[in-house]
Amino acid sequence: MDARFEREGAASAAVVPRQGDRSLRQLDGVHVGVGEYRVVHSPERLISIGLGSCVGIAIFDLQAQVGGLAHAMLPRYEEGRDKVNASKYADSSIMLMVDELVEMGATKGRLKAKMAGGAQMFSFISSDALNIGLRNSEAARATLKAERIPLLAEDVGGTKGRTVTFSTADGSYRIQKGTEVMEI
Amino acid sequence: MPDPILLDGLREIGNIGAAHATTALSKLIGRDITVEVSEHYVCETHQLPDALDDPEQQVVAVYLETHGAAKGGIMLMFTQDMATRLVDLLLSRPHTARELDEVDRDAICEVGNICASAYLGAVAKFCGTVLVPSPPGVAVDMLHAVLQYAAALAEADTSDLMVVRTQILYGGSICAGFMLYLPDRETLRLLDEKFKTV
Repeated sequence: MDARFEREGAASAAVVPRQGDRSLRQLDGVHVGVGEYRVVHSPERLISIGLGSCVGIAIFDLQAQVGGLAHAMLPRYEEGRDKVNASKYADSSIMLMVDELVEMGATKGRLKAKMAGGAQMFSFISSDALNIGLRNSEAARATLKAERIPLLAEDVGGTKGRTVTFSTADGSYRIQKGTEVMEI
Repeated sequence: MPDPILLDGLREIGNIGAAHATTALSKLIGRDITVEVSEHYVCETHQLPDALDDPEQQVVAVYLETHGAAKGGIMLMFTQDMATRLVDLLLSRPHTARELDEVDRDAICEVGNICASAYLGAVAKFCGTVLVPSPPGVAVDMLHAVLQYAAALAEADTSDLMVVRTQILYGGSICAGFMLYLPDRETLRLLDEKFKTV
């Protein structure tokens, strides 16, 4: 499976100024940026801030005490233009993450998934092609099904952005939408 | 690494475009709206959402795509307070602090439309071509989440994004919001051609 995608290489130096109060960056846990995935050992927590049309896909094996979170911005590797960063896509990021979790000691048949995100942020869009949020969650769901990983719970769609925290200790997935907080 | 002449030119285009946009807006609301000198960023598309300020701050964002000779995206971002202030000025009524309602959303779309049209008009004139904005869409959400959407759309064209950012000032000094211009590769090619012949 790995041969199909190149692993995420060293990101080229960014010319991106950072400024402002980034206090939320201090949330306790490993931050997963846009188009990235991270795999960790329990009881580490994984955090993605401000999921809009992106989906946050958590995959874990509680018994092996490992878990990962992917923050995918586009649906499918095959349809994508960028073939270098496979972690950008919902389908390939799931496959890469599963491989790494298995390398870390997970048993594939024991893996479970939860996901959130895929919102339709802007009010005007009518065509499906522009509804990236919907396509992202559909691609993630289809890939999980193909990989035979049960999707235990999801909170996708809607118009609101989400900040999510996944706890590898107990598999809980906390979602914050505006002032609303829920756990799946 | 992008050509420095192109980068300088882009910033200049940002200044001209934004000046046109704010003149149009100032006329509309009868208040002084000005712009700071534009900055340009070069980043990968997936880095865009993290490139600006506090990722979880709530913003009112208006997004438009450009159509015509070349594509691209334009996003205007305001704080909730400034968005409602602009709407109240636009509708000539006293300002009240509130969440955005349907009327506010429509009105702020119109603000976006006017600004984007003026901005693109300036870019198009320079390129000697025609660029028109799509109907605007509005979202009230986290900064990070709205930028993700723009990044995901831009990703269809390129991974290396050029972003021209202009700060919009209200009453000469208060930051009202930002205007981002994300030209596609074709727009950059057209601009580059022009810059080289000037």
